[in-house]
Amino acid sequence: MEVPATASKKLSDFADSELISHYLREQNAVYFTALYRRYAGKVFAKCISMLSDEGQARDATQDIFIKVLLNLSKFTEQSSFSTWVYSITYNYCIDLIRKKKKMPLIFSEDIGKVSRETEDADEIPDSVLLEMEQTRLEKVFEYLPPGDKAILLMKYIDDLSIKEIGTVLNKTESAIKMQIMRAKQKSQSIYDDLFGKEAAE
Amino acid sequence: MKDENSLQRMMNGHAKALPEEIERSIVHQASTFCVFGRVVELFGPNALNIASRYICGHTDCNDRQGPQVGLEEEAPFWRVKP
Repeated sequence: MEVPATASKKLSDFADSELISHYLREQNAVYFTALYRRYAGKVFAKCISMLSDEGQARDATQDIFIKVLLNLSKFTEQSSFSTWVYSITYNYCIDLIRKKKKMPLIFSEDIGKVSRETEDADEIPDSVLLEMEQTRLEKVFEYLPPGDKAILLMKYIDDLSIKEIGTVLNKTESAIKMQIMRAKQKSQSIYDDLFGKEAAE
Repeated sequence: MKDENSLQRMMNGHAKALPEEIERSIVHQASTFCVFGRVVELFGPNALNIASRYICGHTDCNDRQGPQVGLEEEAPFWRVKP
């Protein structure tokens, strides 16, 4: 595969939208490969975090990029390309977990059915999650429900707004805010169960 | 990289484990789609046109370039009776 001679700048300098339009217009796989190289690592990392299995994550990454390839012409630029790819990733992983494990509990508590007790609970600071020791964080992530993992990754890794997270998961903004809080609480309680309360302080 | 939090470090660690064979497979698929797209673009319209003629029985064959018999301009002088 060769980069077309007409390309005056490096592929790494192209914006996502430029790569997409070049790919669709010229039907040259080089442009899609550039998109793949830009996002494959991030998609694979999300798949490992969500599925907790490297083999499944490998298959999922491959399937997700095939989906992206087949649906590239339907991408409307209503959101950024990264948000679009990540939303495919999260929804694919959640569907896969639902199918394989028949897991009814995707979120730590059903979104929208949050008790008064939860609403009144103290806000847990972000530092609880973000300053946790890495090996312990990986352990905590293994025990978190997949929906909670997705919501925490969208907020703290992808920097998506509450509105964007709501669009990806098809939920209202207030439900998402509540779910972020629930996910942080769940992370802390898992941490306490695994490593004891003193360790967290 | 200085301001990385634990979550980012964990995700970067996972990203580094990305196997190369996925790229080979995806690039192969993308190339196949491209070739298939070009073939369809090249032959699709003509193939559809021919298929529609067969199905609908359309007889407009002006574009058919068969041998042109008996369309010479004038008979040569040596064939004309005196």
